[in-house]
Amino acid sequence: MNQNQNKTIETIKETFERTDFPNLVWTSNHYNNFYAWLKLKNPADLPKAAELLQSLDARLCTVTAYSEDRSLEANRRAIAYHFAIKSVLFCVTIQIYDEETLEPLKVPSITPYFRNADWNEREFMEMYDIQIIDHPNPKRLFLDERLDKGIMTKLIPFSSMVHGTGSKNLWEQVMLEKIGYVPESFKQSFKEPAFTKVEETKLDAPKPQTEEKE
Amino acid sequence: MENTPLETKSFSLPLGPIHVALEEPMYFKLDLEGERVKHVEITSGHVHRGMELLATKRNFFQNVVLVERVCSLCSNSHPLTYCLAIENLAGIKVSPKAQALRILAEEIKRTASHLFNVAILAHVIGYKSLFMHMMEVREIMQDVKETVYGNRMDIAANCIGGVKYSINTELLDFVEKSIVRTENHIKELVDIYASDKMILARTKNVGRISAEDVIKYGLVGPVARGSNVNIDTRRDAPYLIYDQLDFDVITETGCDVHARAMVRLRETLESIKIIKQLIRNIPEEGNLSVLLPHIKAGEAMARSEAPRGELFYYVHTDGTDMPLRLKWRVPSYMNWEALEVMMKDCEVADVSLIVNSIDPCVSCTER
Repeated sequence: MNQNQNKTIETIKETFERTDFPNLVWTSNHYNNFYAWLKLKNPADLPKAAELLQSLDARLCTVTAYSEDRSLEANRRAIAYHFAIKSVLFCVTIQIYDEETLEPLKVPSITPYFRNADWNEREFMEMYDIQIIDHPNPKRLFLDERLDKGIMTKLIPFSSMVHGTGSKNLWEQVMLEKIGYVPESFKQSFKEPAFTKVEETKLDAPKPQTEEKE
Repeated sequence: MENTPLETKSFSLPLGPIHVALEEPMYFKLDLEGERVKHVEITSGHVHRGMELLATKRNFFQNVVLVERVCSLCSNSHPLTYCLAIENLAGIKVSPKAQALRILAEEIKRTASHLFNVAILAHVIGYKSLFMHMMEVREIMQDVKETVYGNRMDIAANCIGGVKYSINTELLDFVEKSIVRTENHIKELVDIYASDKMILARTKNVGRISAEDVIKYGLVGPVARGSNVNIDTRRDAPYLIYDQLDFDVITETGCDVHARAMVRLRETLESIKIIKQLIRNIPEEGNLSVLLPHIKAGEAMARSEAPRGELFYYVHTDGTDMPLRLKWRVPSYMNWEALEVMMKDCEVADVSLIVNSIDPCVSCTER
């Protein structure tokens, strides 16, 4: 660990020891890079942590929203905020659900502290349907308004995505081979659209008239 | 006849999503007063592919291949940083030989990437002969990639725990000869970009962003360094054997399109300096890779200096062989948002030039 890095780590430790969040966990890697980890259970604490990090001249690297378990219906969501303080990476993770009821909790925006949180917050609002309090510009970032919120928490079969009526037979064959029957729900979800029949070309159509040039 | 001034009117101009500067979709709604841009609204999402969700359905090995295909220009930085994150989590130690080979691949890619971006600048301002010449110079580095790695863009150099390739003396000689050829051309190009009247007229004081705004928006890479913000992950949080190599972090004070181009050009010379040191010092002994241990449940972060700036990866695992969550953030993510600052009050004719000056990578940003 070099002198500058040592000083940075000491400053971070001193700053957080005097606050409501003294329990930082420290890890390092083979290249002597150091990482600080802070877990918050109450989203209301986030602005306080953001203010502290701002006082340390932290730079917001990015924000990661995720589900704590793999099932798509899981309500146990969390957000990890990743900061760089010189050579140290600092991760603040907050649970955004009530531990007893599993009801989702709203999260305060940190855009007032870190300008570049704007896009990050808008991204996880649309991808994970997370409610943000006081976001200055709560518009969609990547996804069209017509798409459902929380798209990253849903399994969308390819055939549904492409309105795959053309591949209906294919999927029926797959299901027959895999489970031996085609579920009624599948049949219901793929109704053939009513196409207007294209008129046949008349072979005896008149030839277009052309002007004769002198 | 008296010249009567044209009436200035405010109107909106949709620009994009096709061919604003690169062949990647970016869409802007520009509010203009006459020829001047007063407000920029950015619409993104044209190439959003849900790749991060896809990554949670693939195992750790398969994701090396997936992340290399996020985009082609920084296609080596993605698997490298992903591997660094997994190695941080699993405590995997990479041999000095593999570390050196990883840096060799990174710096070759960086040189080609920077040359491409500065060549596009010449293309945008209509300096076609310079554009063609720069693309020829860049072609030397493309040949290096094709010869050493067998491919011009996705070079498949990295794997978890090391690298997938080795390099013999004959190939190293070829690399050395090639970079010497490139270096001579680049030195000439640095002089041209620093003094050519047409380039200066089109790029100086265009697309300005102050150091304060760079910090406020969290900008990184040549965009930050062009505004005299001295950050570079290779020096600030060294990884691999970068701390044993001699190179300078290039900064410029112009805060404009020209400064960003000069940073990139001068950085290619630093990359060549690094490659020269590596050619003479790649250890002969040492494992190229290690066996993949069980990846325990946990989380890890990693970052590297990609051609466009700091590339960040976060991985969260649950003890299975697939990540519970894999997140990456590319430098263009913030640099793109800051275009609203750079384009404020610019001429509408300079918009594509300013867009190119952040070296945007839309496929990377939207994932």
